[in-house]
Amino acid sequence: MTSKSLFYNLLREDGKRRLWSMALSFLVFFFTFPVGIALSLSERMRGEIDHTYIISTLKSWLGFQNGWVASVIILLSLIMGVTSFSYLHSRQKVDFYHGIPVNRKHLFWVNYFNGILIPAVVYGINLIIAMGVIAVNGISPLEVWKTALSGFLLFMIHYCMMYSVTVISMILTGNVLVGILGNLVLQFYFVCVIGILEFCYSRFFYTSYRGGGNVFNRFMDKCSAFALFMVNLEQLQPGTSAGTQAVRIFAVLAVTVVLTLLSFLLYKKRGSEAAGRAMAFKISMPIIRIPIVVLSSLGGSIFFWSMRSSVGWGIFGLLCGMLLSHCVIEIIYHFEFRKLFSNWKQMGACAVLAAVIFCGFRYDLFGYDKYIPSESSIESVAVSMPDVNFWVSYGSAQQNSMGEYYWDYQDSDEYIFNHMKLKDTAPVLALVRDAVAENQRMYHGGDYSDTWENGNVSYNFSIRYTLKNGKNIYRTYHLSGDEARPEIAEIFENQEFAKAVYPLLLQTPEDTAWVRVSRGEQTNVVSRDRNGTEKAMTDKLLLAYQEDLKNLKVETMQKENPVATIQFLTKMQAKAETKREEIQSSWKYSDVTSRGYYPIYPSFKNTLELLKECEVNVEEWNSLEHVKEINFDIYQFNDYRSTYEDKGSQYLTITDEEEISQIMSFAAIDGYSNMNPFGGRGEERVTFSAVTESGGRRSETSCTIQLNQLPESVKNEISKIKKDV
Amino acid sequence: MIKAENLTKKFDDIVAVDHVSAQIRDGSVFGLIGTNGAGKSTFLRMLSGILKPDEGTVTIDGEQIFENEKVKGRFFYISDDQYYFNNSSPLDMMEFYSRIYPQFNKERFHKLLGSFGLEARRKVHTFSKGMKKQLSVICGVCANTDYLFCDETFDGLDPVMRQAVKSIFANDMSERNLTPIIASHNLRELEDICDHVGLLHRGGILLSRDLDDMKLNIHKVQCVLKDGMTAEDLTAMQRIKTETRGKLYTITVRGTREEVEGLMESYHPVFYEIIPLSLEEIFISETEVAGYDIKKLIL
Amino acid sequence: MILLDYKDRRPIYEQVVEKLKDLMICGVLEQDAQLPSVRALATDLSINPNTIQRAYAELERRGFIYSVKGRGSFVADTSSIRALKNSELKLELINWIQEAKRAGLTEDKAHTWIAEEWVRQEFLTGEERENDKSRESDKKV
Repeated sequence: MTSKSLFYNLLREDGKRRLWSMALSFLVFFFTFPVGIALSLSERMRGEIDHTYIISTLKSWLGFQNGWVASVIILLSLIMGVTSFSYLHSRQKVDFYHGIPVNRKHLFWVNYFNGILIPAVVYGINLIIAMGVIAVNGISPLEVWKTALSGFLLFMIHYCMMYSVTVISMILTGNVLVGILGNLVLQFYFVCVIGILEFCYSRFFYTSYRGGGNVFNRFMDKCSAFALFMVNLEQLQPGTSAGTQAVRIFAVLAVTVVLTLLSFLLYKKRGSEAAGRAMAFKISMPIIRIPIVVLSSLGGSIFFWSMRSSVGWGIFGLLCGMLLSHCVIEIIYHFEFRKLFSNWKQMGACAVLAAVIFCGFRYDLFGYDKYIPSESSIESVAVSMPDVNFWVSYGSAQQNSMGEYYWDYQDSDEYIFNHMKLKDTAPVLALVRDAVAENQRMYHGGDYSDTWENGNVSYNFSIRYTLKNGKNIYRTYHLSGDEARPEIAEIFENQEFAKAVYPLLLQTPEDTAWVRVSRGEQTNVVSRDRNGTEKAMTDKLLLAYQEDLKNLKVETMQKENPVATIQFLTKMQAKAETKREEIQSSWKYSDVTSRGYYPIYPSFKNTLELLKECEVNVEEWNSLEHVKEINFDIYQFNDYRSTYEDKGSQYLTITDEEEISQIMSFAAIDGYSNMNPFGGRGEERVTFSAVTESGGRRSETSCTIQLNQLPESVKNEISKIKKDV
Repeated sequence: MIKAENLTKKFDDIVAVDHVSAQIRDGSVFGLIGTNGAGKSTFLRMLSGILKPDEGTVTIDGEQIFENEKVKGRFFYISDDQYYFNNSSPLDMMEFYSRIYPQFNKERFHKLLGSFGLEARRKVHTFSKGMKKQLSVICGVCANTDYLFCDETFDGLDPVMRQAVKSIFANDMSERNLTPIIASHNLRELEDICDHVGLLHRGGILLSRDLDDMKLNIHKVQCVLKDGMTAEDLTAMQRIKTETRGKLYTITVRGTREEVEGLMESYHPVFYEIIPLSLEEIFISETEVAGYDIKKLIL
Repeated sequence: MILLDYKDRRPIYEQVVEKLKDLMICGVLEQDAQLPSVRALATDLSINPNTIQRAYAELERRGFIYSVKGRGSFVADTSSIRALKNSELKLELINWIQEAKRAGLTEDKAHTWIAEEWVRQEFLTGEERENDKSRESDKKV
C-alpha cells in the first residue's frame, strides 16, 4: 500500500473516530445559518420591511461581524484542537498509534488537517443550505454570497490560528487538563502582562499618558491570538483601508503557519513517554513557570501595595503571589502535592526580579517621569489640552448600511495628535520642565504638603513627541495653577495648534450645508443651502468664522466670554436633520445634529457682521435693557449638610437696575464660560437666571458670573445666606 | 534477527532499561521475565519503536526500528492494555488492521473468532478483560507478521485459552517461522514454550540463556554421604547451594547430568538421587548467586 | 498421541523422546511408519516446535528414526530400538540389584520375586497394578 493511499485511509479512519464532533458542529452551524436565516427572513417578510434592510441584516449575519459565530469558532477551535491530539495524552493510545507501521509524521498531519477540514466542510455545507433558504424566500443569493464567502474565509483563517495555538499547547503537555490550562496561558499571558504594565504605568508614573488614544492597546492584538481575533473582528470591516486589512490577514496567516510548523517540530521531538505527564518537555517547565511566577509576584505586590500604599504590604503581596503561583504550578507539573517547593531557588529569583521591576516603577529607576527630550532630538510636538478642547466634537456624521445616521466618534487626542505638528517646541518644553519639576517635588520628593497650593486649581495636558528617529513618545503632564501663562498663550495662538484642535478649521465650503446659531435656549438656522440658494452666504460665513477663530487671542478670552454659539452643519448632518424634520421627531439623530457648535466671541467682528446681514439680532446679545430681574437660586449656596427646610423664599431676587447692569456686564450665558479656558477658571462662579420681558413675553436665561464680580450688596447677601446654613 | 545492543532508557532519574544487550533468533520463542518495574514493558516498547532509546541500538536484521514504518510492518505489538477504537467491534478492528498490515488474513480472523467464541459484531468495550486479550492475540496472529511482541498477554488468559494460544503459536512458528517474544511474570507458563529466556531486574539483564541449556546444566542432588564427609568435601563439584536436614544433603550443582553422576559416584555416597530443577528453582538459585534475593519478587 | 507430564521437571524434549521411544518399542509405531510432522505434534501438544525439532534430532542421533527430505521422519529399524531398550533394562536391573543389596535383600528372595512376577498377568489395570505394588512393598517392609 503506497503511503499516499495510507494517508487517505488514515484520514478516513480518523474521520470515523470523530463522527460525534462532526455531528455536533453540523448541528451548531445548521441552527446558526439555515435555521437562523430562515427565522429572521420569515419575521421580516411579515413586516414588509424594505429590501435593503433585509439584505443588510442577512449580510451582518453571514459576514465577519457575527459575534455568535465568533464564539462558536473559538469554542470549536478548542474542542477540535484537543480531540485532534488528545491521543498523545493517553499511554494506551500512544502505544497503539506509535506501535503500528504508520508514519508518525502522517499521523500528525492527518489529525491536524481533519481538525480543520471538519469544521470547514460543515460550515461550508450549511452556508450553501442557507443560500438555498434565502433563495426559497424569494431573495437572490447573488446579493449576499460575496459577504458569506468572505465571512467564511475570514472566520476559517482565524479558526486555524486559534486551532494551532491549541495544538501546540496539546503537544507541549501530556494531560488534557494541563493542555487546556496551557492554552489559556498562551492566549492570555501577554494580555495580562500588558494589563499589569498599564496599571503600573498609570499608578506609578505620574506623567504616563492618560489620553484615550491608549498606547498599550496597540500592543494588545500583537500579544495574543485571541486578542488579534477580537481586534480583527472590528478592523476587518468595509470601513478599514485595504492595506490595513491585508496586513492583518497576513498576520493571522503568518501566526498560523509559524505555530503549526513549530508544533510539528516539537511533535517530532516529543517522546511517547510524555503521555500522562503534565509537561512533555522537561525544559519547557521552567520556561513556562518563571514568567508566570514573576508576573504573579509583581501582580500580588501591586495589588496589596495599591490598597495600603505601604512597602510592607507590597512585600507581603509579592510573597503571596510568588508562593501561590509557584506552588500551584509545581503541583500541577508533578501531580503531587508534596512537590510544591521544588525549585525554590528559582522561585526566589523570580521574586527578586519582580521586586526589581516593582522598584523600577515605584522609585522611577528609569527616569520615566523625569524624561524631557532634548530640543534637537524632537521633530515635532503635538499638544492636547482638555480644558481647551473638551467641548469640541471629534469625528464625523456617517450613514450606516441601513440608512441610519450616527456619529462616528473619534477620540480627541487621536485626532489632535494626527493633525498637529508643532515645530516651535520652546514654549511646550518650558511647560514640560515646570511640570516635571513640580511632579518630582510633589510625588517623588515625598513632600505632600504643597499638593494643594494655588487654591486647588490645576490643569493637565498631553503631549506626543515625535522624535527625529521616528519614535513617538506620549506623556500627560499636570501643572498646578491657571492657564494664565505666557507659554500657553504662545501655544494657543499658534495657528498650527488651532487648526489641529478645531476640526472646523479644516472644514471646506463644499462640505458645509447650513449655518445655525444658538444662544441659550434659542436656536435658528441662519443660512440654508437649499439647492444652491444662500450658498454664498454659507460659504462667506464659514470663511469669516474660520478667520475669526484662528485669530482669537488669549488676551481677548481673558476679558470676554462667548455670547452665542454657531454651527456649520456638514452635508451629512444636514441630511440627518432633514430626515428628522420629515418624520417630525424632536429627538431622533440629535446626537448627530447637535454636534459641532463653536463659540462666538464679541470680538468676532467678521462673523457678527455677516450674521447681521442674515437678520440675526446680534445687538440684543449685548444689551441689558430688557433684563428686569435677576434670581439667584439659594440652594446653590447650601452645602450638602443642609436640610430642605423652607428658609423663606427660594430665590434671592435683584431688581435694582444698577446692580443688574453691573451683574450683566460681567455675566456669561451658562455653559459658554466653560468653553473659555482663560476666563478665570479658578474663581468661584454662581448661577442666576436673568429674566427679560420684551413685547409682553417673559423669558429666562441661565447665566453665570464670578463671585468676586458681583456688587458688594449682593455679595453681602450671599455671605449672610451662607452663614445661616 | 532482532539485536539489541546496550539499550538504555531513562525516565527522568529512573533508569528503566540499563544497557541491555540481547539477540533474538528468528523462529525461536524469547521469554522476557521480570517483575513490574523491571523494564520488560519498556524494553518491548523500544523494540516496537514506540520509545526512542536514550543509548544503544535495537535493530531488526540490521535496520533501526524507531520511526521506520517499513520495519514496523514486520512485527505486531500486543500491548498489555490494548487500545480499541471507541465503540468498535472486532470486525471494525479487523478492517483497520487489514489496511495497515497488508498480509492480514481475514478468513483466519473470522475462523479464530469463532473458535474462541467471540462475536464479530459485538462492541469490544462490552468484552471482559480476558476476551479483550484473546482478541488482541487473534489480531496479532492474523496480521501475519514475522514477529509478535506480547506484553503480558498470557497473564490474562484462562488455562484452556493459554493452551489454545500456544498451539496457534506452535503452528505459526512451524508454518511461517513466526518469532514470538513474550513478556510475562509467570515462569511456569513460559517454561514449556520458550526457547530462550531473559530475566530482567531493575532494568538490567540478569540472565539470558537458552532454556534447555539452563535445565541441562544445573541439577539438584539429594544424597547421604559417607560417614565423616560433609558437603565441603565435595570439592570437585561446582556447588551453588547446599541445604541440610539431618544427614540428608540437598545440593544444587552445575554440570551435565553425566558429569554430576560421575562426580557423585567418585565420592561413594551412601545414597544419592539427581532431581531436575524447575525453572523457578533455577532462577532462584542463579539469582541468589548474583546476590539478589529474588524469592520475594517472583510469584 | 502422547501425553506430557508437566510436573516432570525434565526438559520437555526429553519427555517427548522417551514417550516416542516407548511407542516404537510397544509397536504402536511400526517400522517405517511416518511420525507426525513437527508442526502437527507441536500444535497438538501446544509446545514449541523447536522442542519437537530437538526431540526428533535426538531420536535420529540415537538411531531410532530416519528423515527423508521433503517427506518427514520415519521409524527406523525397531530391532535396534529393542536392543537398546534391553541394554537400558539391564542397566536398570544392575541399579536395582545394587539398591536391593544395600537394603539387605538376599539373592534367594530376589529370585523368588522374579519368578512370581514373571508369570503374573500383564494386563492388569493401572489401579490394580498400583494396589499390587503397594501390597508388594508392604510385604517387603
